[in-house]
Amino acid sequence: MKFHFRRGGRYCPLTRGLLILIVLFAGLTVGCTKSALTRSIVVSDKEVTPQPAHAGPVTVNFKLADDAKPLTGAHITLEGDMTHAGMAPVFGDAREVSPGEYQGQVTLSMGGDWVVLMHITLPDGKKVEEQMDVPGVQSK
Amino acid sequence: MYPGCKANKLPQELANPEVDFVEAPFDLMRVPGVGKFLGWRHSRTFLQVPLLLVSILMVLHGLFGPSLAPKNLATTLTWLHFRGVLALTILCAGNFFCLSCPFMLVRNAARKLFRPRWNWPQKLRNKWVSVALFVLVLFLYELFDLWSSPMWTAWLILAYFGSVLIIDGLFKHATFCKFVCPLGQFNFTASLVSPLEVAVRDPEVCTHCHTKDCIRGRRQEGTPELVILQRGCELALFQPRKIGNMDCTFCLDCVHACPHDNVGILSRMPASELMAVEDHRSGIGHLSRRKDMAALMLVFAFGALLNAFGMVSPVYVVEKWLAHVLHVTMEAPVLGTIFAFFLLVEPIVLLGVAAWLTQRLGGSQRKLVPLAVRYSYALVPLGFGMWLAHYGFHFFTGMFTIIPVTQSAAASLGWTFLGAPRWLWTGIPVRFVQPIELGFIILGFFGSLLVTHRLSEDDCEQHPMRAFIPWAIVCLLICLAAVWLMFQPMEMRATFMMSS
Repeated sequence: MKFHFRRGGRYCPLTRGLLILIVLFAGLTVGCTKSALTRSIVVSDKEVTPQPAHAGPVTVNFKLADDAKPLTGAHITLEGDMTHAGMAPVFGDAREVSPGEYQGQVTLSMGGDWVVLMHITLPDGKKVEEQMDVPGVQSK
Repeated sequence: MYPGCKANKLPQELANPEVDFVEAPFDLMRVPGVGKFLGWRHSRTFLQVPLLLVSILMVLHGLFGPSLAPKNLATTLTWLHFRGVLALTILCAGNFFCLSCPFMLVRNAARKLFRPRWNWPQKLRNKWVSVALFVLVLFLYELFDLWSSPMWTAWLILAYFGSVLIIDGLFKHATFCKFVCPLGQFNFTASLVSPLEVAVRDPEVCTHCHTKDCIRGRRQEGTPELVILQRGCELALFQPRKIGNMDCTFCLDCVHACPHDNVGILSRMPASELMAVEDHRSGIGHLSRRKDMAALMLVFAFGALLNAFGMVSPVYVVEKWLAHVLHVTMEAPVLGTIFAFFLLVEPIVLLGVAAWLTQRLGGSQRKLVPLAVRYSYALVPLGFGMWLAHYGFHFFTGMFTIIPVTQSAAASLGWTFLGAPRWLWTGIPVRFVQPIELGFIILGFFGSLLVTHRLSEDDCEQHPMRAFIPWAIVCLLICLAAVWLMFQPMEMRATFMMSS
């Protein structure tokens, strides 16, 4: 004995609707991906002190270069995020301590895995973002 | 409402003429507007469609959006909002997530294209597969740090959709929900302490019902093939003999199928069904005889501690020590050892000793294993209290993060009308949330004590306190462990090997 639903059929509206929605969402996302940066901005010698990092204030040092030359005059803000969603980010600024060398401070609010994002605004106004992992920050 | 009995079924005690008034239970289906909506044939689809759209959004953002978990919809919605709202809904109402489960919408759509042909194998008609999957999900969550990976979270959602399609594409009825889905088992178990259940309004009406549409469904007559107009319960729960929320997805098929409008969503005393472990339940049998079901309860209760333990500072000390002792540099064997301790050694020792003491002190005639099975159900309120404390913490402290993450996602698509992301919008400060956490754990503790006491009264009529005390101590130990965990510094670190 075979049973089937009355609204059955190969191309029922529900199935069609779901397929259309999936295609629309997929197209929307694929069509809106970011383009890659073309300039050769290099962020190097990234380090956090003290090591191992503890919850509390930490100093972030790094170098910035454009086509292998020290990049001066960049405006940089730091953002610390936990790798777990739902935690408040922390912010700080970085200043240039010598040509192409920058230093900033953020206060990590708790132990765990952190990521420090460097939001870099170049002298010509262009923006670059760099990520630095700070794993295993210990609780106070 | 009498503990352990269906909402409007009068036990013998209440048939006593001295008891002259029994308050009718609250019925959600009788609430103006709500009842009309839930009684609407397409109400489930109406609830499922938005969740399906959100799921698609989460998958796409997880796969193609930012790789940083706090900035991605997949991780934020899954590990903060979904878990928190789910637990709170079950606490305050019932298993309404299964009602609006988007996986079932996709399954129903797929079943228009291909119909399942087989029945789920007899040997697998129990909870062992789903218990194993439940443990596996908890293990993978820790091993791959799913909370910190939008991509893995998206793949987990996709794997879920794929599993539903394969299992329910091959096997009839609600096989995935009843025998496979680990999330569903979590919901079923947690909803044992919910204040609402889908139940018969007037049992007398059912005694005169000959069609049994609530389980058989309604079919159109006079056609060559039997056309199903309305499904009956796909999880084999026959309403007049159904007790409680175990295996009930709140799909409301029985509500729609009943020709007498005799099925509602009724209030009851939370956790009361845990006191009725000896009663025969439709589609389930006797809880006290189901070792698989007891294993699910234990994984639920001790898994709550384990899941929280994985997020606090001391876990890294333990992991480093274990790695040193085992001479390994991989996380899997270390985690495996911790899991074995929490989910095997700890329950066996605690329940074994308590069951032995119940025999020796209380004089219970039951054997050790049946005693342990019986009392394992009493740990559900405490386990749920811990899950609530854990999920509630993340939800309350991060509830507003959905706003900046959505703003950021929209901005990445070029939609700036939502404004710049307000990343400092997080949630309620921890100092306000911690008392709520503590409240959930204590509430669960007292719930477990209540169930334990009732079970011990049935067990040892002569000396109920002697049977109660060992189990009360087990509950107290778990409660103290939960409170200790709650006040540990939370680290949520994913890199113990690297840091070691």
